[in-house]
Amino acid sequence: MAREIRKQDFRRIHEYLWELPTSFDPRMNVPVRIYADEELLEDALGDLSVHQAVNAASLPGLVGAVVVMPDVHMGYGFPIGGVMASRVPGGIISPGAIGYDINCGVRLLATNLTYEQIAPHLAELASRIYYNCPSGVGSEGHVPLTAKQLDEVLAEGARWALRHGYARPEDLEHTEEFGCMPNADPDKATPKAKERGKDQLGTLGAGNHFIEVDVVDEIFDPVGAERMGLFEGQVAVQIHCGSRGFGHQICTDYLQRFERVIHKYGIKLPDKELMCAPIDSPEGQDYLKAMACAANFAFCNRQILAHYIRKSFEEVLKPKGIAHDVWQVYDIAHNMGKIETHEIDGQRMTVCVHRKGATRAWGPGSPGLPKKYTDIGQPVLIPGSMGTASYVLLGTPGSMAQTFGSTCHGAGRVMSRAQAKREIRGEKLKAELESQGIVVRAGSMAGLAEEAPRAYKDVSRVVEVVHHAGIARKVARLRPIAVIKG
Amino acid sequence: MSSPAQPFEEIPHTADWAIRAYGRTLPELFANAAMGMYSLLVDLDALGESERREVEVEAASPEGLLVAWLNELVYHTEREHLAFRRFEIHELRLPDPGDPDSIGRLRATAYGERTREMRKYIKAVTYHNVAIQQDDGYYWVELVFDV
Repeated sequence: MAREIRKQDFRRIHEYLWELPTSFDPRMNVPVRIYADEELLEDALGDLSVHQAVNAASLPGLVGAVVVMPDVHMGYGFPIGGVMASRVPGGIISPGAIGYDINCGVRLLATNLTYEQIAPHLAELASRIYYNCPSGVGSEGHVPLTAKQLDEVLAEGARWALRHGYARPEDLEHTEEFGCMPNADPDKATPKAKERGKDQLGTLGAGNHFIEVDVVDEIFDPVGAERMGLFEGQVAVQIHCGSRGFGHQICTDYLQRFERVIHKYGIKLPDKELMCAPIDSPEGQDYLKAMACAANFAFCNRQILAHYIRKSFEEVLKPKGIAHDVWQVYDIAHNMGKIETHEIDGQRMTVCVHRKGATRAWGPGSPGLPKKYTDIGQPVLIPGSMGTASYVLLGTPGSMAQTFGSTCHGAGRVMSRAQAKREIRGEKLKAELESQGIVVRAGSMAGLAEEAPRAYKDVSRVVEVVHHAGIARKVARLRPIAVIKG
Repeated sequence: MSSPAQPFEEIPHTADWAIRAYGRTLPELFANAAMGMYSLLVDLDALGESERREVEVEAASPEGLLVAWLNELVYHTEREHLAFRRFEIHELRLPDPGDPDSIGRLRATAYGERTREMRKYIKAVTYHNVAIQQDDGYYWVELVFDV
């Protein structure tokens, strides 16, 4: 068993940043830096997440530090809420440090409607969305694909959705990577992944994935909010989901493939889940191209869900003569590996940034941002746990300088699913949420209980840390009025 | 450590589901791990055996074989809405620990039936700290499922 990690092992760099130096463990090649207040640091030390960050810090070819976000919790191999950057070329790529649900992410749609306008029709709207966006165990979508069409989706991402009438051009403009990872190669995606993915486009899935109708509750940055078209009292919609079975199978299949060759490259692993390969090896390159396919599947999936959400608004509001528009604010990934250029210890370097449960948060002026956001920075979408607040933030110069252009991704679990299921009754939770005026459409009461707000950290506390540490800044807070999940 | 009187048990994990499986032999451990996984998804006693699937996997380590075996079952479950309750391990050949290029192999049959009523959806069986352990005449292993 690994050595215990205590608060006094850290050097406190400032109020919200703690460093575990390489002297802590001789295997560490880079330090571990945790963004947290004192209480969140103690939470982080309550499970094995910091041990996982220490394990990762021993991988070859890393630069800077392994960064841990305030919403961290134990993952498999690499913590959820972890960021690391490996040299390109010369470093490694680790599917486990990107996550099984490749390009799990969040999309925010805004409307021109106020809460008062939607309130009388909210229950009907939630039911329409629940019907139009299939969710839950083994759900199949409205967009079954032939093998050829699936390959097109994998190569084109959200562009495929645009070609087939599921998108507006400005949706793609307002998506990370403009909705398409260019290096995707469908020939590198495994046959099993394709088999799992072909019926799943346009589905939400289960677990912590959801669609939520929200109201903009408070504006912190009027300039940023205005640019994104956000105003107090406005109705917005969040979509949280990823690449479904397709992405999971890519991760599974490449972990197996990497396991067979890792000895060739002389890499010693502290945990099999950190399985990796040199980024310039044939295996590493193939994984990057397959991962990009999964990322494109997810971009296209969230785009098709956005289309069906627009359709749901149309079906409910048009017969009532309520004019409306639903536009896209932004769409971001929080499980992804990206080749980016960053300044690290005073040097410009090309690195593979692994973000697992961490959001890209590029500051103002970064190339690759849409024109609309170039001078304010990239919108960052932080969903809270079910029934609690969510936040819209912006990337900052601080995130570029400190965290490879990354920030937190959500609330972060503190209670196991098994414990939540034992302690919380789904029906009771549904009644509690409904008594707060939140409409709930959920396929599984046990699944609802596992995602109870009590099972998560306080998202507001997490957001305060990243805001004060300067690795993102607050623009607006959303509160839920309807939750739709599997 | 509990005694291996039970074939498997559920254990807590913050983000996901986890089990500990036991077996007097490695093939029994592999079968019990699969049974433990399906006990999270369905009521095993109520499940029939109208379907069977032959499974063959290869991997570079005993743990790799175990994870590959369970992931192969997960794949059938997602594609065909199949849940399994009984497992016959026909061949379990471990890789030679002295030869890094050696590949192990497992051949098995899984019996179960189609069901739309599954409690959970396991997206992947992870390698998270997976290590097959041996104690007084029995094997045990902890497995974490990504859900």
